[in-house]
Amino acid sequence: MSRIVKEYKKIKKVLEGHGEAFENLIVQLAPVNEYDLLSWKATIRGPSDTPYNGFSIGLTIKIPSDYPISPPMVKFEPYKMPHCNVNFQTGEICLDILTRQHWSPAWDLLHVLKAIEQLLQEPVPESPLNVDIANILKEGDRTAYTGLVRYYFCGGT
Amino acid sequence: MSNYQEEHGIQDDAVSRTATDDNEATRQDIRTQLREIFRLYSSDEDHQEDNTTLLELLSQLIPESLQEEWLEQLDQHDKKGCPESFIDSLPRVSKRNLSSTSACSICFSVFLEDDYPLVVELPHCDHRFDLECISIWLSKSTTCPLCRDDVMSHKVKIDSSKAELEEDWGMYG
Ligand SMILES: [Zn+2]
Ligand SMILES: [Zn+2]
Repeated sequence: MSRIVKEYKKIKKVLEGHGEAFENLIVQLAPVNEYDLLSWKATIRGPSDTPYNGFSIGLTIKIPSDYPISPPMVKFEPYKMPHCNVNFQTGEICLDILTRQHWSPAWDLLHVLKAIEQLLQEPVPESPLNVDIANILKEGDRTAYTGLVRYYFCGGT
Repeated sequence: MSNYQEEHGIQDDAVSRTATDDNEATRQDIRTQLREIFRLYSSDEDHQEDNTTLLELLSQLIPESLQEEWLEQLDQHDKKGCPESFIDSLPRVSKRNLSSTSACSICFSVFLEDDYPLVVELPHCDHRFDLECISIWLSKSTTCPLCRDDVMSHKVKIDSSKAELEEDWGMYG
């Protein structure tokens, strides 16, 4: 049985309520199609102590053929995601654990979503994919930061 | 008379011991230099023609096992993974030492679900994986998937102890 099949079983169990750690974070994590476990969709809740609080955020996950030796490819989609480490137009995420160099095959999709939650809580303006947001963060203006994120979320371009 | 001989015996011993120590140091020295030359000329592609003779000469001087080891270390720089010989040398964990719930963190399979589990242990951190799973991973990385320990960082120690045992090349002795 392949690794992603095992993960799918585990994820179903966790989301049915056997893993409280993920209850506040994950709204949905499932393959787009039951018969193709290489393509997934996820929806996570914006963490409460961040400007993303109250928003549901979509992600797509592609599983490479040599998973888990290679990391999954994760993007914010379909929403344009305002975050200093996310490309606003493509949804591409700059997150070290998703790179070949730092990925571990012992991690699974639940770990990945946890890491993305942490990135929402602790943005890294030193390696930005969204310079506008990174600059505001560097200035330390929390109110402006929250305002800008929310402005983007509500349809600003 | 016997006293004199005994004295001589002791003295000879002392002399030869110092000589051995000196030899030892010289050997280590030459060994390091040879290794460096080998590394330089094996990897320098610009001067391939000029190197052939020297490399041939070196190859005759250096035992084959060492040549292989050094060449493997050269490959290492490009591949970023562990050499095959390292992966092959990982200690097996016998079936009776596996608990009924422990699983491989790469494929997530319980080891004992397989009637003939082929499980190995990494040096130092003792984390266990299916040989098949960890082989693929270590061909691309040198870290333990669980604790991120650099598994190759311990290899140096293993190597030097092995080198001391294999010191008897018979060419400088
Ligand atoms: Zn395995
Ligand atoms: Zn380990």
